[in-house]
Amino acid sequence: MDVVHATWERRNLGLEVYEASITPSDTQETVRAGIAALPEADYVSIKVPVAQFALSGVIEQNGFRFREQLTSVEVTQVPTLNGLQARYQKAIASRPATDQDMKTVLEEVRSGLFQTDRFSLDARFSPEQAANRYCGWIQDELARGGELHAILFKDKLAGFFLVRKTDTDRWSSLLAGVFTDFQQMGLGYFINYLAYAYCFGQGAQSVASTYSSNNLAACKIHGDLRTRLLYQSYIYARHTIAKE
Amino acid sequence: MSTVDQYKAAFINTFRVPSEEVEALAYQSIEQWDSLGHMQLMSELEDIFKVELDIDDIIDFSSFAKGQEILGKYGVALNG
Repeated sequence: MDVVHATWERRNLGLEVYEASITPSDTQETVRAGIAALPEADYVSIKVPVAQFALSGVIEQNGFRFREQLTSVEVTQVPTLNGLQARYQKAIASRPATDQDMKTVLEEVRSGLFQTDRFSLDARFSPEQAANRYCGWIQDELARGGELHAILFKDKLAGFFLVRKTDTDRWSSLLAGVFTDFQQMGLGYFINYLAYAYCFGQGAQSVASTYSSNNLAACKIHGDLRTRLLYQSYIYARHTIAKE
Repeated sequence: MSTVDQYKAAFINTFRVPSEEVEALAYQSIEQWDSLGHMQLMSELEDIFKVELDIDDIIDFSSFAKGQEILGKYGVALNG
């Protein structure tokens, strides 16, 4: 079992957080021992590849609870729009985010734009903590070379997407959101579409993305796109691990 | 099939809901009618009634009842 001290969560959540991952060589014994050896922490998550679901029993026996399933996919070509989508898309544009766009994005995130991640859905975390994670993540990705793009609908700032080149011809679509005032306008598909179209326009041969089973909209959108399944994993988590 | 039956069928086919539930439907009143489902419904209606909906009408199409009113603007009379 690999364990990482998620030091960035001290900034985001104000808590000591560790992230563990089950490895192919893990057994019930190594997982049990790994959990017993975890440092004192406020919150620990364990990622279990679906192929190793048999190890979830020992994880649950140690107080961890199921939180979400993560699915990683790869989009290998620009999605095709039908006639209606193509007309609709003419009213939507994207541009590299300005400083003011960035400020608006962070304000929207802090006002509760994202509600489907395991931190937002966990009553032990406050809405401010959950929003802080996204703001911290966006800033970390920008520092790693990520690109934040603003989405305009009928010339009004309506959302954003965040992408990053990860290899010579591979990109990741990391995060996208439609602002609250624009959420009943059918834009969800298009912000994802524009993120993928942008990456392919930059020479990407494939664009990877990961979404949570708690985010039904993202599951549907990626089901509608031509995607290749890369991997799936279950996430378990536990609050407060104190040493006796 | 009457035009109102065709209209109902568009909702049933898109959202897989029972026919007795369609008249009460509104955007996001069911999980299926989200942003993706909305565009699928609009495409279905355009195909059935051979119209091209304006973007503002696509946005305003917020319920089964509102949709009847909007299609009326395109000369689609939903008769039983």
